[in-house]
Amino acid sequence: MEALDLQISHLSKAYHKPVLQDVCLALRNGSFVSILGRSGCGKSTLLNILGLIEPWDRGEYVLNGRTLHRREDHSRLRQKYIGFVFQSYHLIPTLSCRENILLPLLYSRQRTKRFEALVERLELEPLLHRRVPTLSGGEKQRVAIARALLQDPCLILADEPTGNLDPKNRDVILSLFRQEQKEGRAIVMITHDAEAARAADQVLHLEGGVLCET
Amino acid sequence: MRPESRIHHAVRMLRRNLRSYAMLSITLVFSFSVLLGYFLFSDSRGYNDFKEIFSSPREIVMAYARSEDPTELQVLKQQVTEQLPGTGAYLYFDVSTRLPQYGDVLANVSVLPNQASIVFREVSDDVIFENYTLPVTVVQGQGFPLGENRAVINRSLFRLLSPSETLPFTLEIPFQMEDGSRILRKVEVVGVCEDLSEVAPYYNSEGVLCAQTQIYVSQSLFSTEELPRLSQRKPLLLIHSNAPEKAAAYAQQFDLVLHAVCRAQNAAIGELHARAKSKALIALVLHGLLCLNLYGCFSNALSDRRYEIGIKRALGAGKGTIVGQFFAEGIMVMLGSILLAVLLITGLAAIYKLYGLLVSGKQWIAYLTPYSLGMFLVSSVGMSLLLSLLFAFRATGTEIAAQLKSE
Ligand SMILES: Nc1ncnc2c1ncn2[C@@H]1O[C@H](COP(=O)(O)OP(=O)(O)OP(=O)(O)O)[C@@H](O)[C@H]1O
Ligand SMILES: [Mg+2]
Repeated sequence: MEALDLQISHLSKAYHKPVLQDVCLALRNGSFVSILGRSGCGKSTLLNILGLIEPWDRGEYVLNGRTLHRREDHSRLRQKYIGFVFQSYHLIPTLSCRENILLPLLYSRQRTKRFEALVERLELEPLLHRRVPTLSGGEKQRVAIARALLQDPCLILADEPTGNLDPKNRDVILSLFRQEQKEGRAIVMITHDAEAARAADQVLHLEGGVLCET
Repeated sequence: MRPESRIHHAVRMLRRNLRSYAMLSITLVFSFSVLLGYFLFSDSRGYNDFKEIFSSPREIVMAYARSEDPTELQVLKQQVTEQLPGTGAYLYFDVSTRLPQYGDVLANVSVLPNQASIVFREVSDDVIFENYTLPVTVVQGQGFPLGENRAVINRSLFRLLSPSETLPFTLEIPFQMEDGSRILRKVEVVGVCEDLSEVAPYYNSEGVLCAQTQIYVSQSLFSTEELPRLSQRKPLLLIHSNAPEKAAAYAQQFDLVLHAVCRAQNAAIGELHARAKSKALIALVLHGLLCLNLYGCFSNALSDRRYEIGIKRALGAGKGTIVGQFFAEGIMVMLGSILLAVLLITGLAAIYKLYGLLVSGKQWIAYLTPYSLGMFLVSSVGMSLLLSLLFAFRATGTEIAAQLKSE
């Protein structure tokens, strides 16, 4: 497990209108943060910036003591540290579920022993050889979660990971996350579900472009 | 679980995007076919236009007197044989006569020097307006050199004379003298040669049977006194020289009709060079158009894949990896298309050849100069590399978040 010490401070981001104004957040191994906020307030934008797939406008992003440049290509860092569960899953439609889950291996060039365990835990066995477009929303979500966790990332960024799941599956995911947290991974989870949010140690609200505790 | 190899992954993605690549491939195959087809058909045209000229012996120069007087030809013969080493020349002439033995058919008699080893025919060509020569082929029986009292006739005449005659047979030939008298000579026909041109026998308005009839006899048929008294002689000098240009230059000083193979070949080379220039220009324009066309197609194919690229980059694929994958896919598609284009054009050329053979009976030879082949290979492979690389680099151009939102 990689050590993680991530700090963002005074981060801002605007499209045509300001979305994030002055966001500060610190994450370490074992942090479990959930973020609530109304639709369109910038939660996904914040997660994208944390996940280094979108540049920020101003502010500082320090990862393990190293200040990152806002426009650089951080593919090595993404591959090494981050597991992403996207709000709209982002599975490659031309590949099967199995191929989608295993995709990160192509870029890390490492072996993994986790594939079978995840498939069992998330009950993915019957889906493995199906094409993505034939899956339901909840099925896609479970596939996306398996892909994010495959390589044991030390930071899991999950954008409404339980949004499309029934209560049973939601509990499976939340307990999976708590287990991950115990093993030392940091988790940031965006959710609209206050009950799910309570699984985290810290619940934050994004409002007016600023993160605040409840 | 082991990671799969990247090239394996590129092949997989190619197979999964077969439909969109098939559309791209149609344009690619079409483009490469146009290019290769243009090279092949323009080269073949050049080759087929001039193949007889280039297969003619360059050493041959033929000169005809404009009158019955062979004096100028005799002077020329002496000059070239004396002044150009490695030069031989022989003077002969044609007379025409009728064969009473066979219904008065008109026949052209070539009176060859004794022991003449070979006879040339001239073939005129529409393209370069100059005559060139080919050796006359013997198709049956014996050929040249002719022994004393022997003759070779052409196929048309033989057809008129057979079935009553089979080789060898005796032929009586009357010769008209300048004083109006006639002398009769008997020769033994020992061989049949090909016709010099293809005209079917016909009866003219006076009811005389006309055909492309030709008899070759040797001068030894006549005494030295008889020879200059033959009526309506058309004298002809055949020069065989290691320096044909010089021989032709000598001949040009006289008032003669001149057919020099070397000049015809030089003119053909000039024509080919002129064509090569326009060909290069057209090829350049074609390349430009193809590049634009292919660029557009690749851009289209790429925009279908932006979402996939976004996902892969978000999962940690570096720019280099993405470039590698798309480059590999691009190269596979391009090389496949080049191969298909080659097959397509080969097939088309075969059909065209067969069509020519069956419909017009002409032997069309497909021909590609090494220069054109090289140009096609370099430009198609070059374009493949360039466009695939461009394709690949553009794949990493936009922001990941934007690519993800492009779904
Ligand atoms: N590429 C973009 N160009 C312009 N505006 C954008 C872009 N991406 C996001 N936005 C806008 O930024 C704001 C924040 O978007 P974001 O996706 O972060 O919201 P969110 O909090 O995740 O909402 P939801 O809960 O509905 O997912 C929205 O108003 C959105 O319209
Ligand atoms: Mg969102």
